[in-house]
Amino acid sequence: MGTNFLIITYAIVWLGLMAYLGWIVLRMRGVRADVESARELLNERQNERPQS
Amino acid sequence: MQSVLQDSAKGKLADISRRAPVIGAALGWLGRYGELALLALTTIGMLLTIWAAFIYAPTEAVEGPVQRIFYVHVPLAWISYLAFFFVLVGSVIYLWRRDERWDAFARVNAEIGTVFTTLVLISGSLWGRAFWGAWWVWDERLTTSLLMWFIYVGYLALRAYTGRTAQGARAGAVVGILGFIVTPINYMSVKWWRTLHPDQVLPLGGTPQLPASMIVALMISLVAFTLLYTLLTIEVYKLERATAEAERLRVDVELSGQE
Amino acid sequence: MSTQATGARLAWEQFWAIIWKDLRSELRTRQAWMSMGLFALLALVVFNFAFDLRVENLATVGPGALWIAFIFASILGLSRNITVEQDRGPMDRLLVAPVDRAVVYLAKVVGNVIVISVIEAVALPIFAMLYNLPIIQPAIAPILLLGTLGVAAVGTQFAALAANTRARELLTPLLIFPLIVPVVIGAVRATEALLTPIHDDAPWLGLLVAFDVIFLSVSAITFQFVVEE
Repeated sequence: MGTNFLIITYAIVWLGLMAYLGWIVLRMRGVRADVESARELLNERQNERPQS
Repeated sequence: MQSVLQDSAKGKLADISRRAPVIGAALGWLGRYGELALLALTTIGMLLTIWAAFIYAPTEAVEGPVQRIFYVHVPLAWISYLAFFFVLVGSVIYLWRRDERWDAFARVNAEIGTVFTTLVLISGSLWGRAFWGAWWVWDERLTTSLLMWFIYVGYLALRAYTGRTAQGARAGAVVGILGFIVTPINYMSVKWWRTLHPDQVLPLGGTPQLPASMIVALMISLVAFTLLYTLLTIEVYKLERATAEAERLRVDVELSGQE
Repeated sequence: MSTQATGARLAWEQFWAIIWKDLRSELRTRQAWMSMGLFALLALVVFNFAFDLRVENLATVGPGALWIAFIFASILGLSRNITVEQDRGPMDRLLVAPVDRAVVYLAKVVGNVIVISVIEAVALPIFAMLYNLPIIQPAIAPILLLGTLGVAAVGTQFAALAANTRARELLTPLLIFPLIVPVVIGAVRATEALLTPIHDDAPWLGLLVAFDVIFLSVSAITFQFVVEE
């Protein structure tokens, strides 16, 4: 009986931690994409302008 | 993509490489493969933990198999204390030095500490239901743990609503400092009051209350979770700094668009 | 006088000047007092109906009801003016000199304590009548004072902190709540112990003192970062 709770608890802890790691990876991808696109946009604009 | 941190680290690395080539090579290797190594070690540690918790550790006489929750519940709790202590440290140093990176350090630890505390509360609740028959009791240990959780959830909410401003960072730092009052109270609560929650099994500067094999299993688990914490801290810190840089670039883009 | 002594003297005078100024503006508007007082009374009466209050229960639920009424009334009245420079007056020459932010914070706290204490002084006899509890005794004073001090200390700090944020109505209670709970627990238990003395009980009053001292001192130091421009 207690064993059920044991298994469920370990499952929740492990899945929870993996979900958290996954969320971090997802966020990191999003931010990297943001930085890339922002950099590209900035470069475009800098190249358009003759001086700066 | 090079983050600011990597740039300065590379500068320092070039410096060391000139002066002590072997150490420089080792550090370079560590930088490139360190994270992968850490991930590998963490995974191994976690697998070892499962072995230690389910096979190596003896079954407790009174509680039975449920007691094995101990081997995740306790390390998660101890590391969240550590994380919240680092929130305090990061907050204090940020207010002193106004260096964004220390604010990031505090913020990262608040996030990880909150995640870990959430798991402590969930695992503890399931354990309590199994052993005490109650999902929750309002004893001093559980109450202060819940308060601690609320404080850092409030910290994260505050940071989310104030965005990446200096004012938000300052406000967060104040909460990080004042909020830490509850953590030592929570830690000592089992000693100061008669709680349903068990007493400290490894009291600081006291005698262990556990058989040796359980202590070994706990230590294995503790090492594994510490490795996990280190990995998470590094990753979330990089994420935090990258997000800050993305914000900076977005401002630059807007400014350049207005010219 | 040495510059240190004059500095301390100035801080002391500024401290009272701020309290006096706050109380004067409070007395003038009178809105805060009314709403807080009314709310406290309402809470006490509602609790009276909410619990099935036979005589034995009164001593058990009474202290809790009392402090819930005080806490919520206090939080209601805590969205008070954080800035010091408002109206002209004879006190202003004191405040032209830069005021130590710790002094501002402590003055605000004391001002809040005074306002809440007035409410408590009115609510207490009514509580004693409604709940039929011998609460009007000298020993209640330190409990009220320390509890109110704790509530005001936490409330003042976090109300100021959340004041400039977007989700002020959400953040203020969210931040205040966890740190106010130890104060509430201590005050309620101390009040219970007063009404039905328990043998060998924990030193709740001592806990309140410890919390108040620690929180006030750390808060006073961090307040400057909260109101920084």
